Amino acid sequence: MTKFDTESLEFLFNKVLTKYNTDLSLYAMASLERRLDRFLSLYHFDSIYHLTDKLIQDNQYYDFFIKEITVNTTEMFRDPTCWKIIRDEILPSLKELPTIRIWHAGCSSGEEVFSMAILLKELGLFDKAKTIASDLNKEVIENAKQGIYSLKSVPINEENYIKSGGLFSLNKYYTVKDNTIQMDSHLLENVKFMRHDLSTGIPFSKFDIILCRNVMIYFNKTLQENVFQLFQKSLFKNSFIIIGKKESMAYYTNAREFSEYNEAEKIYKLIS
Amino acid sequence: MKKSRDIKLIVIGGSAGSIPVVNKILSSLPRGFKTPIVICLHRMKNVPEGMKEVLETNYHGTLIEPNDKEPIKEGCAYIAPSNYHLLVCEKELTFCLSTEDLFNYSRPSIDLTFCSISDTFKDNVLGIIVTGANKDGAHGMNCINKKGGITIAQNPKECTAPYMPQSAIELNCIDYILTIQQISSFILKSCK
Ligand SMILES: C[S@@+](CC[C@H](N)C(=O)[O-])C[C@H]1O[C@@H](n2cnc3c(N)ncnc32)[C@H](O)[C@@H]1O
Repeated sequence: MTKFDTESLEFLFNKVLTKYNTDLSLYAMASLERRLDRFLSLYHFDSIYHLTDKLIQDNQYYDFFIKEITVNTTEMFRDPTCWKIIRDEILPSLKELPTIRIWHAGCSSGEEVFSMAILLKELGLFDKAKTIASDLNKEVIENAKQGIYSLKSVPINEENYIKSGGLFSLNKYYTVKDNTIQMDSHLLENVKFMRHDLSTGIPFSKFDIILCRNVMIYFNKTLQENVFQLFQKSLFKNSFIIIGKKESMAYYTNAREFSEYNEAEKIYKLIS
Repeated sequence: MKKSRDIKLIVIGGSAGSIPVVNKILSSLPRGFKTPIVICLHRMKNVPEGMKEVLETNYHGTLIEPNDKEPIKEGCAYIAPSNYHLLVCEKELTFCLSTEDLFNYSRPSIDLTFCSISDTFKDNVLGIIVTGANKDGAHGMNCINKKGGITIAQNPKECTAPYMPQSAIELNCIDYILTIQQISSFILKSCK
């Protein structure tokens, strides 16, 4: 891999921060530099400076760039054992609330959002839920709203759904069109999508459950700290935060204000 | 030959079938062996547990499947978690995970792990590629070699699946071709 010199990276990061208010300097360089390197060679830029010029001149190209350098891979019911705990324990424990407020931070193309909506349906809690699904990336948010996925994704999603304790077959929730599936749009009735940038964003509401899975792995420790702080401010007391299977809250300075509700599945509860 | 450098990190790559080979290497290391070891083996998706137990049988150190941003410590061996790529953050010497697409049909991909480690640890890496049926890892061994690290391929004659070490050997980036036993003695001789 080409290693970039610090100066050119700083140039790019500063320009992007000033114009678009996203702080790429707080990303984990190990992955970001890989993605940048790939972007430059795929789209034939001979230097970071040329790329920066293009990004500053062309807003649409910037959106495309962000889509390309972030990692958007996702699945329905990814890590089924975690979703089983959400189904069997977390949601039932909130069922007496008048409204269940949920935030998917970094929702990518929406598979996680549909997973939660399906769970809520099957538990009879659908009408109580108010969900925000956010991402940095406009394009994936559009994909999420449409709920159209490739037919190839069905087997893994179906397998995950069953392993997570799904009551039916996933095909109850979609129709097949050519090589794609169309999710039942009714599932998004209580979902509001928005663009929200975790690198510079501020709290905007309070929630009973925040899911932020496989998003912070792309951030450096400083940004992880900021984001945990943002989440802490966005949670009611005794509410839950669920992070990715191989992420950890251990390095967060206020970790002690959370209890490890389920250590293996990385589900934490705000206690103070 | 070149190289009698300080080895600060050992990396081992192979496919799922290489678990017994890696276990043999790990279990040959004495109590108090310090150099951290990073192991990247292809794994079956959604069959996460089990591999760790087999790998750590008779190993005296601590075997860890690291979380994101976990620091690299002496006396430990780390195994790339299933369904994530395992990278190393520059400077901080912590692990950094990614769910980027499969690379060489694999996640974790040995190439990604090896190249990332050689970017950070430069010529202080000992890279070992063992039995496997995919060319993943060959490019990674080349990265290690280019940065001045030491590279060992398991002798293909001894491998149940020789394709992986063979592909690395064909890239002309391998310093030593050794049997499992010789690999163990090499580690004992050159690491602490
Ligand atoms: C690997 S996906 C995770 C999808 C889903 N949560 C899951 O676990 O399957 C990571 C997502 O984080 C988003 N992301 C990256 N940087 C972000 C930021 N600064 N603010 C909000 N979202 C961000 C990306 O656009 C991408 O959709």
